[in-house]
Amino acid sequence: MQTIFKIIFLMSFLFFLGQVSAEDNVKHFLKLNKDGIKVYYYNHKNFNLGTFKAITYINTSLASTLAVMFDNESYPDWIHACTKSFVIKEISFNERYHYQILNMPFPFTDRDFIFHSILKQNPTTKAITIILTSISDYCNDKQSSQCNEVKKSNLVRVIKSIGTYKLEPYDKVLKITWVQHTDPTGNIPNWLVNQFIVDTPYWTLKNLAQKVKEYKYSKLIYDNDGFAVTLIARKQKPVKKAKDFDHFPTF
Amino acid sequence: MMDIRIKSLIKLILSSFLTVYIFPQNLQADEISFIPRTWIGVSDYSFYQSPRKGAMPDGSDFPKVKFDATLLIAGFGLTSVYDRFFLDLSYQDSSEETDSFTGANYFEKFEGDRRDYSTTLGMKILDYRGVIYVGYKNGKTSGRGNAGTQLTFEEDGLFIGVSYGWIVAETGFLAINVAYADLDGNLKEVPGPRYPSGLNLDADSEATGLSYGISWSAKISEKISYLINFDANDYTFNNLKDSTATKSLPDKVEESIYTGKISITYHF
Repeated sequence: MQTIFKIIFLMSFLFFLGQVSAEDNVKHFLKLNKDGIKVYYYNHKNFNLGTFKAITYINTSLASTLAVMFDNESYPDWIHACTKSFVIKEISFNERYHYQILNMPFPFTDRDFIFHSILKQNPTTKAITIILTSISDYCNDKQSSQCNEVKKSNLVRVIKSIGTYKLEPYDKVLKITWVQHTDPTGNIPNWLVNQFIVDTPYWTLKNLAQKVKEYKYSKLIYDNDGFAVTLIARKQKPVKKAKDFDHFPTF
Repeated sequence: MMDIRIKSLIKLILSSFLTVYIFPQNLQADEISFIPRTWIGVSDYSFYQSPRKGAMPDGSDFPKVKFDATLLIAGFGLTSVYDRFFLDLSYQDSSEETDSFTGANYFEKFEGDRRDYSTTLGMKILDYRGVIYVGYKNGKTSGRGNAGTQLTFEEDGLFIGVSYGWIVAETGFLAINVAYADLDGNLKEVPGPRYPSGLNLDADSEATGLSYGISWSAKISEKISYLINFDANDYTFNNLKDSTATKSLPDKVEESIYTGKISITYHF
């Protein structure tokens, strides 16, 4: 019975996501257009959650971007307000579960997520879509070391969150479209939700554009049908820049 | 004449307003990072005052005054960073150390200390390797003699500076720094009862300050860094004016401070 409820719940989310996507051109409006990142805010009558859509173009490859997205330990470096993330279970190249903690400003309690991610590919255009769905109780009946760590958490577990990253390669540029719907769970004031709706996509995509440079030698291996089956992630040590050091002289 | 402390306060408030006004408006909170820091160090302090010509009752010169002391210093500061701009507030105080004055058959043992505070607005240039900056600073040296003499040397005003640095072996940043300050100075000397009368001094002056030094900064962890500085600060007081003085004023007053310090910073 529980499984049926989960399926119904997931289908409902996907239905709402479809609704939102279908109405992209009608129901969203631009909240931020900065540094090549456009953030749209949704005011969807059927989806009263923190919802945004963000679009940017990054001068990078699909492989580099996937390498960053597959490296959960790097999430605090580029995902806005993320303090920790790790893989709970990797099912295949196309499917995995991961855990993620979101830092909330005082006095609010930090949130944590368990995401199920499904990777879908278009073998012709090579575009990849990653669908993230929160499965808050995934670890409840599991005994792995990762799940045991998740179960120790006393943070507020986010129940409703679903998002998609669409990665579309064009020549030397990658178009990233990120749509996210999240009910932060519990009492969070609207102003904070609205702040996250703008800050999260802006800073995350801005940081991502820098982070991918560390993974620029990564490579995707495709099968005969044009589907990516393996990612060879090559991470290199970031080159230090003057900006990385404290240099604030005074008299 | 307005008390120098009130003037200093007004300048500090005005410069703070100015820096806040200059800072880009409509900032997102997350675009600003805050870097508190604290430091300890050692300062080699020296003070020189030229003889006061004919200031003694017999018409002879009151001798030169020279103090040297090694001060332990500690301070704290907060740097707010937005993009290429930074705003820094800092305060530093010293231990109380001793030196003595000998001259014209007088001997007096002094205890003295020094404190400084400043606010700085800077902009990174040349791909973050260089910095140009302006700000306000106030420095005050106080001395108390065991024969009752009270001394205060204070300078405050605006400064401008430049700095440039190099990344060394991917591990740290080596920078040189030079700054010039156009200051107002005030020297107060209230001699103890054993000295001849009329030597009291409460003089305002123009003052210039020159600061130059070298620094090394490196990361301990992602959020924590350390910084080692060696700095020299020279202050020269010119055109002393004291409308109440009955004796001649010194022609030349100088302070030199050579400081080595180590700071720890934390990135929020």
